[in-house]
Amino acid sequence: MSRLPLEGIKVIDHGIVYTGTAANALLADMGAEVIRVESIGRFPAMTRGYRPRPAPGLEEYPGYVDGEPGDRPWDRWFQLHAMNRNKLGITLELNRREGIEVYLKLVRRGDVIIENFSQGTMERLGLGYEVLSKVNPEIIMISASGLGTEGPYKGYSTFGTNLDAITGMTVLRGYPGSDFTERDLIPVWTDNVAASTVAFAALVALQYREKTGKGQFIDLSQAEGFLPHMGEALMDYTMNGRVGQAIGNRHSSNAPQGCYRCRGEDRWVTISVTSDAEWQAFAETLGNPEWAKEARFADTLGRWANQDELDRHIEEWTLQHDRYEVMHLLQAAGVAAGPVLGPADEYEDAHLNERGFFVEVTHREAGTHRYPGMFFRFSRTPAGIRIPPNCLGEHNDYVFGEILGMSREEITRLEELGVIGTEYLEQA
Amino acid sequence: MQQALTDLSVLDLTHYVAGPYCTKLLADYGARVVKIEKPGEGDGARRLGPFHGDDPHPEKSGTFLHLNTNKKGITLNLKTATGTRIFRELVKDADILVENFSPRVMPGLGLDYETLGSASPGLVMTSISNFGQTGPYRDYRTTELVSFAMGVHMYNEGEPDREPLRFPGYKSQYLAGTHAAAVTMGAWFGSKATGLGQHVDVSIMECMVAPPEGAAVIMGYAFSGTQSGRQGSRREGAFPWGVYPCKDGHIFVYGIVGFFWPRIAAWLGMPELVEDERFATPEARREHHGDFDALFLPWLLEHTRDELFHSAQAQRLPVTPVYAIDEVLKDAQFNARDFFQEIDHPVIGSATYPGLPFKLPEAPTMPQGPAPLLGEHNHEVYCERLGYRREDQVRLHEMNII
Repeated sequence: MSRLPLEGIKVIDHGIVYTGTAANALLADMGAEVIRVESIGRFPAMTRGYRPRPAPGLEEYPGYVDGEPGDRPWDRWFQLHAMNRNKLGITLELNRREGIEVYLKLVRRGDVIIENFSQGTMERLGLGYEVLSKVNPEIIMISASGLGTEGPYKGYSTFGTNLDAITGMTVLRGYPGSDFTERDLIPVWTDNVAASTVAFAALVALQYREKTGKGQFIDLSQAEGFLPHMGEALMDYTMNGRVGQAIGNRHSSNAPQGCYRCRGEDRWVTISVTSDAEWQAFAETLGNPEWAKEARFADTLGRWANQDELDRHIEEWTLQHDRYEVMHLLQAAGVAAGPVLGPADEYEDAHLNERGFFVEVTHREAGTHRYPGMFFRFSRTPAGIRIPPNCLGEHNDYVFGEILGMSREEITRLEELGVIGTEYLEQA
Repeated sequence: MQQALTDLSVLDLTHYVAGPYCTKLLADYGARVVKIEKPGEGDGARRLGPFHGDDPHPEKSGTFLHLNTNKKGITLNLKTATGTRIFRELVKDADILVENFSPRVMPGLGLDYETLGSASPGLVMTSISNFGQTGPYRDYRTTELVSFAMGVHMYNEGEPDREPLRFPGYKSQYLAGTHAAAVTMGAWFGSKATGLGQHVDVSIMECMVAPPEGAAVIMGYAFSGTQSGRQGSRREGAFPWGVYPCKDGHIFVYGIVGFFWPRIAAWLGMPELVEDERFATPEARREHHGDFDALFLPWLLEHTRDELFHSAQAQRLPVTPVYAIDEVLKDAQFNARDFFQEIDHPVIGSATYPGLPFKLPEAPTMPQGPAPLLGEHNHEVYCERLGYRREDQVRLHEMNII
């Protein structure tokens, strides 16, 4: 079994919700030893549910396996299962002296600490970088807050879609000419970016340390991690003074380009024609209909200027076909096309299945499901789901006993003191 | 004083967005990146707007300029035997090779990982593609719209009674570039430890459905058996939620879960709302949604965006201002943290660019360099580094090799 690339790197995971949890998971996927530190006295927002023991009938029930919280709801929550694999999960009360003693043992042997708590949490626990760097001068600590812990917005609270607003994305997330204020804007995006940005930052800092021997504290702002992804919109303003508008599914020059209704209920396909040659191939695939021969559609500028009409004709055709059929027909002709896929579709998609993207995992609390796997393949050291998403405190015995060398008596004492455990305390 | 990645040598065959953003991340933290472009035209991104002064010139593409900071640029024609021989010389000195061609291209040139890796066992070769190096859609074409559509996020975006909506810009490609940078670094760590590199296969489609967000949507469906799809108008129950007009603009209020309710009451200066039965439970709030709006909406219109942003945050409520792109550049936090940077470029002159995604306080912030002109570093790389004579550089140019 080939050693995974990050084997030997020791990470302490304080991730909550999406960014911190997923950043640590990516390092774990690549072989780092990631010890996830959780609390049985404080329940983190939207990580293992909305509350530890939901009363019957609450709105969040669908987030649990089969809509059933069960006896250990915190081990059955969808967000945990979506991303929390390959980690060793422990619990430690960091507001207790005994908990901090154990935690500092982890810090002493650790390489990287990653957290995305609300700002100031680690400092309030007396575990900020100033303290921890005295315990381990080479430690790398990353705080991944929405807007950064230093600056006029110090301490400010944000969740994913807040960052869209402050980076200019919200106003561009719309149909052309429509009122963006009317829209729901549920899908969150920036956590996707922040997770790998944080993992990348950890590796950059580790490389810096290898050259210089120095650890450091990175005050990572998720908004700043995302702003380069708005690059062309920013450059149009800084170079040309132009403030962009929403263009929806259209393109600045390619036409036709759009999302077209297909046969069936709420079934759509996207199509992009990017050249005169592709237009020819596209028209041929549609059987060279009369409308496609009209002079106004004959060249690039004409198609762009008359896209409304073009779209109407195209949709008359796509409505008669299955969305996957449209994709395969057009792709065979060299034209970019692909269906809009929801979660059920992804599970059934031929390509993802052939690639083995979904991994069947049997979890002691959640049963057997197909889990999203890796977005990357390593040819020599394949990555996979080695450890299923950890139950609360699942690896307490292993980490405290085997890794830290604590005795059975010491571990039992911590359990009796309520410093470690596998269930949330009543006050959580 | 050194930047973090100065020991890393990267050969960059990428073009457009996903690949170049990956190598930009490496270059911006000090890696020595040599970008190879086709002689004559260069990277296709040079044809993409916005153009400086709306002048569609290959050295004036804002997209290209942003994506290729800090890289050296050479030209090389890989469709010739001489070109591929020169390429193999260049690869010998590279720790990492990144490319984002369609999967047939590199093997077609005799430059597949098996060939290159056997000559350079430590090489990490990262290939970013639409669907990965294998699978039934391997050779399928995409654009940003098509990639985004197939990646689960578009399904939930837009209004229920009309077509789903993609995100603006090149979001799936930037995401793949960011993800690729993280796993490329990971693979390089492995190579440093063992002397053995490997092929890293990154698929844009899989980036979209991976953790956290894509995987969460998928896992939510796996557990509940239901998919939410496009919900359109303001969600009831979890309110206040979404974009709200205020006196001089708009604010965004994150979907407030129950425990925020007392803070909302404090924010509005209406402590009596805490005890108000109409808003005591999620169900009650859903039912009296209209009553809350009748209080909230007019109140918002009496206050400026700035006032509301800071007063909400003082109550620890997740509220942010909704900015248009010009306002982003004026934001107090981004400016106090020196996020934006000025870079000088030989053709467009000085301009403001997005800065680094994070700063390393221990490694000095060295001035960031511009994107390369086409073939700008041919002499430096071919003559000074590889030892070609000036006359040979000219010959290679005349023969359209470089």
